[in-house]
Amino acid sequence: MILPTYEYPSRYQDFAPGTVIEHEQRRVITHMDNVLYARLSGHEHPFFFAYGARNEGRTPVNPFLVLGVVGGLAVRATSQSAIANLGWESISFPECAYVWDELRAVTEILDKRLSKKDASKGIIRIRTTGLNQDDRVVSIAVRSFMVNA
Amino acid sequence: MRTAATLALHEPHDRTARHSTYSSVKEEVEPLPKPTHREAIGVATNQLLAGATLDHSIRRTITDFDNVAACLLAMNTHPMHTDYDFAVQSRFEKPLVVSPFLLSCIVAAVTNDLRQLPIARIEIRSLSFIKPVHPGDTISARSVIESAEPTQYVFAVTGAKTNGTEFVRFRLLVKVDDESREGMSS
Repeated sequence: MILPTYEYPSRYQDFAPGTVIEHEQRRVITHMDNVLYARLSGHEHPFFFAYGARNEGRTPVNPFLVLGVVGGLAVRATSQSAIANLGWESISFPECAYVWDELRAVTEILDKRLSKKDASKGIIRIRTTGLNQDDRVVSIAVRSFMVNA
Repeated sequence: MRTAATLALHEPHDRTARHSTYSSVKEEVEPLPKPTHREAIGVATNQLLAGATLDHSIRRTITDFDNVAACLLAMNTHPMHTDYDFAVQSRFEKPLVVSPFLLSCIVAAVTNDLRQLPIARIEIRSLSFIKPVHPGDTISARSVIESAEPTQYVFAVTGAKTNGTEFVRFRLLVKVDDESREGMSS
């Protein structure tokens, strides 16, 4: 099946609620990514470094690296032209991602509205889901950002 | 630059010394004294009660390096974080710190003080960014325990700059791994 190329939205009018975008870029997480991101963020809690037997020798990926990478993969086709990131409604990590997993992202455009304060700006709400190579859901993030109308 | 004084400190080159290893060195070592204290980082679990306020000890400056490295590691293509000319022309007039990384730093400040708590899972709810954060800003975190149940703790977290400006507010749900709770506190 050939899917039509998704044109990157740049203005409020370009976002169509109901659109579901499968992002092209995928990303294999390495040990370097995992440790570097955790150290840069200053994580010290053993939760973020839970190596060992309980995980059958596999190394879990820092959930915030999962959030960053899955969000990063989705930027080009969603918030590339955003003028402000307003926040996340919810972020959850249903299943653990492990080092050497190949992550991909799918974004659903949930809804949009014009800003109450400034009608020349619009607010877009999207849900980005991160999946691994076995299509297990590793992250779900609902976020909203502002674009020019 | 090497001066005569520093050169004089070097021992004459000895080929045999280069090949000696730790395992070949047999030296008498005094027996280790019995520990009298055990370092416990963070807040004791029995102090994590609903209503308590935690002023997290970790403060840090987000540098340009942190921001660009985190942005490139995550393959984030938004120019606001890595294209400084673009950022100067935007309404913020300065580059912004990439938000998943900013969140990661704030959560680090909170969880580092929860070192005694065996975390099994983390969730974030109703997060809103109030003010922009630029590289060079020093950030700190404060959290109020909204509920403390044996299996789940809810923290109302605020991130602030050192000048007092609050820039983020969110709710952090910490699910506790009950099986390893005893193992960690022992």
